[in-house]
Amino acid sequence: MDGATIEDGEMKLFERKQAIYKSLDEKYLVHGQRYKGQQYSQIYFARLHHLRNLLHSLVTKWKPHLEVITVLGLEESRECVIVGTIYKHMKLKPCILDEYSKERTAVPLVKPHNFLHPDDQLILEDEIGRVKLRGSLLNPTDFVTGIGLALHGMKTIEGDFLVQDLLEAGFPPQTKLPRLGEDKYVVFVSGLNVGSNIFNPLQFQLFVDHVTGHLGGDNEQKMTSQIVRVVIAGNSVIIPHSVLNGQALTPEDQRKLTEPIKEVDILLTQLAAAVPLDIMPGPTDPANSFLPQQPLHRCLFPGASSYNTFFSCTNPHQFELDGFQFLGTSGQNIDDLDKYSSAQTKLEFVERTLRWRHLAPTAPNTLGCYPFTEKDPFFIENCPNVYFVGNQDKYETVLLHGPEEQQVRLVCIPRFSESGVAVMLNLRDLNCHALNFSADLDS
Amino acid sequence: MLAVEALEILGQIQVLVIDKLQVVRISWSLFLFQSPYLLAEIACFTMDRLIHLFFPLGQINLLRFQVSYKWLSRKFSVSSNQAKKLLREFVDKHGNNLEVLYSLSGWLKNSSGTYCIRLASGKKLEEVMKEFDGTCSVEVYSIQSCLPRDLAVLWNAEFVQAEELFNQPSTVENCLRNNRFGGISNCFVKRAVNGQSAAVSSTSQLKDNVGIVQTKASNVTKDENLQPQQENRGQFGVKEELKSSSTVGSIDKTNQNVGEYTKKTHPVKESSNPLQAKRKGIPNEKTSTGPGGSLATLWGRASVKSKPSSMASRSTCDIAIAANTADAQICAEEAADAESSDEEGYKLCYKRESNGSSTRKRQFIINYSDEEDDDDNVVSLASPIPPKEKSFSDTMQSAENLNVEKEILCTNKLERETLVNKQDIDDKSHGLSSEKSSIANASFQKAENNFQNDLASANGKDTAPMASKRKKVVKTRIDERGREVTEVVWDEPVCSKDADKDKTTNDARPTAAIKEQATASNAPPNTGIKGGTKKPLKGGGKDTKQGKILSFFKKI
Repeated sequence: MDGATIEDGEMKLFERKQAIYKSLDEKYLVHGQRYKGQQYSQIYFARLHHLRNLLHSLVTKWKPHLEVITVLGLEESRECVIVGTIYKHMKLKPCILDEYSKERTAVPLVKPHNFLHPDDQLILEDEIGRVKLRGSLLNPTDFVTGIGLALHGMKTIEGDFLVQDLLEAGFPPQTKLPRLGEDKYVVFVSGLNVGSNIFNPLQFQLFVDHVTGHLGGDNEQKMTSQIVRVVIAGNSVIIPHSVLNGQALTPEDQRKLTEPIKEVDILLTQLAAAVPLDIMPGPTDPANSFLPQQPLHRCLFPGASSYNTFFSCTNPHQFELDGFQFLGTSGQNIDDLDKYSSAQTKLEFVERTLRWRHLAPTAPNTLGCYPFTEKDPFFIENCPNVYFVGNQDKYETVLLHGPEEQQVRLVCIPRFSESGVAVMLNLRDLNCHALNFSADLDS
Repeated sequence: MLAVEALEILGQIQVLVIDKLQVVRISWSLFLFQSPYLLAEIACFTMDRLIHLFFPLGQINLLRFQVSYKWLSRKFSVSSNQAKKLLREFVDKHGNNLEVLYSLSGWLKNSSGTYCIRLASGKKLEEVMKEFDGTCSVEVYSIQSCLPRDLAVLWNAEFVQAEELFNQPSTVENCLRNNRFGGISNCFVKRAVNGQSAAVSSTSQLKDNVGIVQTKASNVTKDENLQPQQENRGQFGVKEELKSSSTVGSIDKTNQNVGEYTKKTHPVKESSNPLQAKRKGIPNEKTSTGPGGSLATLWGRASVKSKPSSMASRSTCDIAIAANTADAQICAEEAADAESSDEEGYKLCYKRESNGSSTRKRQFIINYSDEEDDDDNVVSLASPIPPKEKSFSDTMQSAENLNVEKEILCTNKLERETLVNKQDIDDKSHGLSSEKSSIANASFQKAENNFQNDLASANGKDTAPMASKRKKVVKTRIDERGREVTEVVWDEPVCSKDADKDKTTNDARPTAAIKEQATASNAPPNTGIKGGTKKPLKGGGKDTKQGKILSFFKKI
């Protein structure tokens, strides 16, 4: 009693702001489906179906004088529009059969960062045929397998398709941006990598203390009280894979396995006790590796999961906060694009996926993906207001303006364990800033 | 190896030191709760003690001690902001001997739009501050004897603490789980306990404060000298042979008058409550008394300790109240009521929680209240989490220190008292309390040679005449390991149930004596209960090094 009065009287307690949260993860959930020999072709069918419907309607505005035909209907020297899915033929793309080939190949060595090669070729496919694409307009390094495109051009004598113009699906439509009269922040963090050597617990504890309102003076705490949600975008835990050798685990090894998870749980408990928290699985987390990754099981976090503020989410993760649409991944989609195409910055990849209207075009080709039969959940129907990608090398952000007054904040969230940076986004104006935590005295 | 050993030693010493500090702080805080500033002083004082205790050992350089604000906050149940303030004040006073780690937060100058939170050592503070854009907040993050090479070490102590809190049964509400020490409250956070959701932060703070009072119990218990006497008391309580013990008898005589007086004031409740207490008390005793003689000692110790620590602080006032004119009493009671009303609220809240939880057995709650919870009490007693006892060597050491501390305590108490009750009581209470204590001392010394003066004085205060009622008091404390232990104890309040807990606690022993005469049956169970309660508590508080005591509990 007495202490409370003291504390209340002396220190003012800030009340944390609240925001209305609505999870839109439903379409990424795989409910009790079992593998019954599904093939991946159905995803491509579904994708093509979606994109063609979309592109057809666009083509009528784009090139009203041209006819849209199928690949098999191509005629030499006749300008037309074809719609289909890109396939990128890559010399260096690793193939599982390479291991078994008896001949030594003359294929050059793979470069460390990606599988690009100057000889890479683009091919357009629709349900019934495929055609090689040529033309300087189409730079193979910009594209990856799985994108839906509409191409304007004509068939050459060699049987290739000479591309004169191209149309992407473009920015998805966006509902009108809500207006907020006050500052409300969402904090993104990813790549905690608890359990690895690079994880600095003190650094993350600083983060926790800051967000939960332990650190800082009145000004700081006032600001942090405006944080309405924390999103952890993957790679919270590193599981020591050396322990998993297919044999029964010794108790000691079991401890090695569970220790990092428990540590995360303790940290998350502190967070969840103060602020709503979304945790998404990432490539290193104890979840399925195929996209969409299903929510981390609650029993992994017995402490944190008892809070109503703890949300274990899918990856990709989509939600609505006070009317703002959020979409994000733990980074696999962008990392895979980085392997099979090139861009100046990671943000460019992110922007491309938005223009292609597909979160993970390389799935299922080079990115693991559940064999959906009815739908392609990665198709982006509505333009989010915030599009974040976790586990990137550095913090980058840009506010994109679409042709129809769309506004999208793209955020690359750096790995916290390496950079000590979390990202704070203000819902009011979609402005972003980095939160830098440093527990290193020398720096 | 050396490092490890050093760490171990450090750990033990820290525990010791902290224990003692807690005694001081808690008793003080009883007086001072209303004044944050005073509270701050206390904590500073405890920090002073900490340093003093380190220096005499001559190992300040070898021993690495670190106190981070968060650790302090959890340890002493103050808010983080307060803890930081305390550290700041301490650094201002003693900064020379310490390495201070500051946390800075603010916007960085050179990079646009980067908000930075970083740590900096005291030497580099100025330098680092230049990196910030204009105003940045600077706060003491931790103080330590030397900066560790890897700062992650700093985090360890905190994490150990957090882990302990985390490992408590899920039904227990603690500061880790409700973030009550943070500067931001979020009333929308709910925690599901066994399927039921409970508000996380609503009542937590109050509980904590109540808990503070309790912490002493374990600390005080360390004195081995006390044991014999305590033993007697405990047994007496059970057997209702108060008169046989000289100490008690003498106390009775001295206090009798006062006791009667107080009794008269609240005759109605007395009749009913004692019965309840008895009802309750008996089962409790049984559960806790398994091992017989040793148990009795435990009891005795526990009872003495538990009461003195928490009561001692207020005892002076109480004595004064009891013995003095009606005016004085009324004033005091009013004050007490004001304080206790809050507490009452807590009690209620707390109860709700505990009842709701189905996993009571695993809780750290020791519930000695009667009413609806009879069965529960038995259960909780029977299967508490194995308490850990501090090693006896520790207790020995601590005993010495304790005495010193006690003295300080007494003097401080007097001072504080004046602050709290600004009425004319002051003079009287001063005079009276000292008088009483001296009397008590004399009597005690006669009876028990072992008794040390300071201890006796403390006890003497406790033995001041008390009212006749019992009430349930919920006490929560954070033990050395950072766990919150909550217990529900029967106390005899002076007036209504709302009466101040402290008062009631103070009265406990004397009341027993008084009741002996008046309602012979009731008093003994009460003391017994208290002894019993303390035991598990104390056990819970200490480190696990001793197996025997643990096993003892298991048998029960």
